[in-house]
Amino acid sequence: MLRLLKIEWNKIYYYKTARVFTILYFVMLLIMGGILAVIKPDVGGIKLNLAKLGMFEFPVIWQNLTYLFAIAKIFLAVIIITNVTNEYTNGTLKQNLIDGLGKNEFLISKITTNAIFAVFSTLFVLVIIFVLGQFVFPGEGSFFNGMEYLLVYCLKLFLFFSICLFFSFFLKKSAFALLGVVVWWMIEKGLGLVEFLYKAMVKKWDFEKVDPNGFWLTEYLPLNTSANLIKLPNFNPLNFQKGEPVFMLVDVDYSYIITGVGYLLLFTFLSFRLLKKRDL
Amino acid sequence: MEKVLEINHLTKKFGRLTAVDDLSFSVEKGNVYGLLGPNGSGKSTTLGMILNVVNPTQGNWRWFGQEHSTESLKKVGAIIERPNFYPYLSAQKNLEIVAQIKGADYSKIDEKLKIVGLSERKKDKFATFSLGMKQRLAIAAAMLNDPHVLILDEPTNGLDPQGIIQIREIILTIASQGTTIILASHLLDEVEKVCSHVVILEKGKTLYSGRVEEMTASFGYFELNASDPKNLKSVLESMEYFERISQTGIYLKAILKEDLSAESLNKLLFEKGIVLTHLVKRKESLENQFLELIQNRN
Repeated sequence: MLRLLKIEWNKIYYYKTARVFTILYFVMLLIMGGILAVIKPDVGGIKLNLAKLGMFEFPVIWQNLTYLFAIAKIFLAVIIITNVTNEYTNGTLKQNLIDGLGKNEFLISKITTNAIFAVFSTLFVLVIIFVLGQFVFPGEGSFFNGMEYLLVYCLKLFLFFSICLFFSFFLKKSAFALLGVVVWWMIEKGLGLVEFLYKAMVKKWDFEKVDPNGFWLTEYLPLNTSANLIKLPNFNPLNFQKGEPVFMLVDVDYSYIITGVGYLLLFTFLSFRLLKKRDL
Repeated sequence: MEKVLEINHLTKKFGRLTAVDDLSFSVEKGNVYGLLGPNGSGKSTTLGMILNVVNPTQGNWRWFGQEHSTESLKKVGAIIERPNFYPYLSAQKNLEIVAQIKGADYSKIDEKLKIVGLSERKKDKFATFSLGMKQRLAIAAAMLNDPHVLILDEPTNGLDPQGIIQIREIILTIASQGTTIILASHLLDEVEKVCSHVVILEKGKTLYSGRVEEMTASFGYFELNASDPKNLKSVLESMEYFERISQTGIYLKAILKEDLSAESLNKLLFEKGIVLTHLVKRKESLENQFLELIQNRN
């Protein structure tokens, strides 16, 4: 394992561009944390003081910030896709195997890299949330309340990276792998529309009667699952005048966690199958 | 003799195309093997299979008398088609990755870079190397773990004459140290200069496998001419020494099927009233033998 990590380290750390962008990503997380603490977004002529609205109070800070930080995962996803597809375009995957690296070892080294990226992001987010919630905007909530979002965040990243890994193995070229993820995302949205039309049809084409909060099968497709792991925080600005909390914690939906773990295993297995079956 | 590699009934089909068709041969320790065949004859596919990058349709192979595993590949050094390295890493870093994969010591890196003459450039990125240097780095990488077998696929492809000479010298040096070498090439000249044994492939089938000099069990051929070529031809045809008689350019070419010296032939023909204006006994070059083998098949 250590040997595989050393190999990956050489491949990524000594690749100047990858190194610079990886460091930039983590710096960006810190900057995002900093900016969030100071910006007062202008909504309809009113300057919103996010802190005063309780955005950084436990427990909602966990959901709010992991939701925002998760958007930055695209950055790492591009690095991961480039790293894996480069192995195809440079012929180094072939050479690694010829030199005596097992196909399973190759895959394990890539999965471990994904896991490390996910875990490090999680640690960074943990520190940022700790500092913001505990010291910069201290509130009454307990630090540990809502912390499950941190684990969900880690799973969300790992799952998304596994999907990217699969598309990298599948399409072998970085640009196509990225497009592949986008196309897959559009397919999921398209299927969502199909499901909506089907539900409308069952209701005799009365679109009003389709319940948006009901059970949607397409919400359990891979990328939707990833998106649903951390949902947009519940936000009600009107509550401010009433003196009630503006942000409300949404409970983690464990059905998405179970499907998420399932997809994580599925995409890893599919990557392995591709690597095993395909001639180089 | 100790067998380094044993290939049994290896077959690879790509859809309807059979790239390698029931191939069997073995490689003995300490020899230099040539895998010879025109482009598309299945050389690279064969090497790809025994090196774990192409999945065989059928058949099996054994490295060093053991079932195939990644462990055995660590004792093999191989370069396939073109040098594959991380372009953005230095020569040194690239070799460090190879060393980590093969479980070789880092101290080997300097040693091997010296052999291929790249010590000065070890800090430079692979992308800045010329093709000749890339190929030499690939040889250094393949040699890193002091392999029992070195596999080279078209090692001089695309190189300039100077590069070709450098690579050949390196190969011959390695061979002289007792390393078994398998060299795939479509260049006969290359195989002839370097190899002791040859396996000839065509359309995925073995045409010949054995020592280079025994390739056609040939007794050679005569090039002859006389003032009356027609008569000469009919007389030669009446004799039983020849497999085939054909006109090549201004000379008749008579291919022997048993041993016969030029002196005896001259004497025999003179006795039949033929005075030769030209008589040369030749052995076929490997190139001609190779072409002949392929033509006989078609």
